[in-house]
Amino acid sequence: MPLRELCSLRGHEDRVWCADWHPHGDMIASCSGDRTVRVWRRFDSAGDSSWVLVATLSGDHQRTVRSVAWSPDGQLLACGSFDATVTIYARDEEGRFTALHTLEGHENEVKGVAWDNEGRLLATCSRDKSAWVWERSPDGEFEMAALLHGHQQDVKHVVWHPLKQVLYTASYDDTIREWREEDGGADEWACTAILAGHASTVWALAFEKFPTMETEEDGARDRGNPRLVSCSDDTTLIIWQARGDSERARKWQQACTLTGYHSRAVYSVDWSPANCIASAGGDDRINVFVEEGGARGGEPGGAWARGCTAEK
Amino acid sequence: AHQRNESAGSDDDLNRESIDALEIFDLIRTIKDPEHPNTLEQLKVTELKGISVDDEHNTIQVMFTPTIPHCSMSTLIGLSIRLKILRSVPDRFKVDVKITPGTHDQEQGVNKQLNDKERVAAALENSHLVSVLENCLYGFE
Repeated sequence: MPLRELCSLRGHEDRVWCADWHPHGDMIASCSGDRTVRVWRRFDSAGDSSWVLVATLSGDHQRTVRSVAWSPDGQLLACGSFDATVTIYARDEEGRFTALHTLEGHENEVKGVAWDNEGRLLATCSRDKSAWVWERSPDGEFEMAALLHGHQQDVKHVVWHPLKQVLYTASYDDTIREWREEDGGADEWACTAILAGHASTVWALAFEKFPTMETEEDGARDRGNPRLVSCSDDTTLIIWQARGDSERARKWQQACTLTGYHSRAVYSVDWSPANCIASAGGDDRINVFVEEGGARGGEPGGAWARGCTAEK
Repeated sequence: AHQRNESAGSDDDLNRESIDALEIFDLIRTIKDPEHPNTLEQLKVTELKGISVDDEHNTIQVMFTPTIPHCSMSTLIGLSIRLKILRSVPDRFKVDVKITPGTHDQEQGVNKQLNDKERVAAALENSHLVSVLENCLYGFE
């Protein structure tokens, strides 16, 4: 299973920090130190596909755009910038983008943005050590729903649980935190777990994805609890598994640590529906890992092996 | 001298320009200390023996020694070394800038900051900070 380069998207004039697939799979949004966001679209003809730059969104951010995320319905694009703001763009039927909102509140660099599975909540995180949860009201406005303090240092990345309104944050303080709305609602969110295991900055997180996982009922019935993978400046990846009978008694445990595959910091990680984990590092290397035996949810310490590697 | 070398970063091996520790030392020896009218070489903050270059594997490591163990300028000095190297060597190189072990109270914290690419990139977007750094970089050239 060798990795083969299909296409190279050229246009940004500075380092590209983040790229996100549109939920339909035919577009990619990317953002850069050149302060722009670019949208690329795939065109298929005669069995060949090519990628074309279809939009360049510029002028809204004064500094590096660090992260981009499409909403689950593919209509909105959230962009977080080092200028401390988040821009929400809407895409109309002709494919034009309009800046709808600028979310202000973070004190300094915004590092991560993430939509929940319903597209109702948006999480953002910053060097100001906080994560914010914004709620999109039925009339399309965004309001701050929760301000999450607890990390000792920069919050580098945010991800939502794929089925629930539970948030996970990764930090320069070497930990991952879990946050959820307290019983009874009232917009009171609390930190409900701290996952400590990495020896340096945790750069990114990704949940296990299943081929069809659309509602919480599906997940609970068929899929158990998705696992979480984290990657770090300590050059390792950790796979975490929540164990326990009830939701509240569930504890995150390290199921597996992948060591020795990267020689420098690991900046990005993702989990494919086909049960592969891909990681990208400062060693200019992309690794793809597969679970041995092809089984899911293996025992603690379950075995993952490197399937392939691509190097610059 | 302030621009990245034009031929640098080319994928073409024929254009590959090899770099050694002495060249890196020559780049950073003239950096001015932010608080003293002296260069980092004069203050023995940077020395040739603190520099290692692995040209084949594209890595450069610079160890620098703060003048005092609680020097509050250590991060700034480290950033000035990083910026000078960044602007001068081909981008195939991975650069680590660290405090000589045991010579600073906040060694681990300073090292972590100096080698966090996101924090470094954000710092280098701060025009005031960059002008302070440039004063250190080019004051003695």
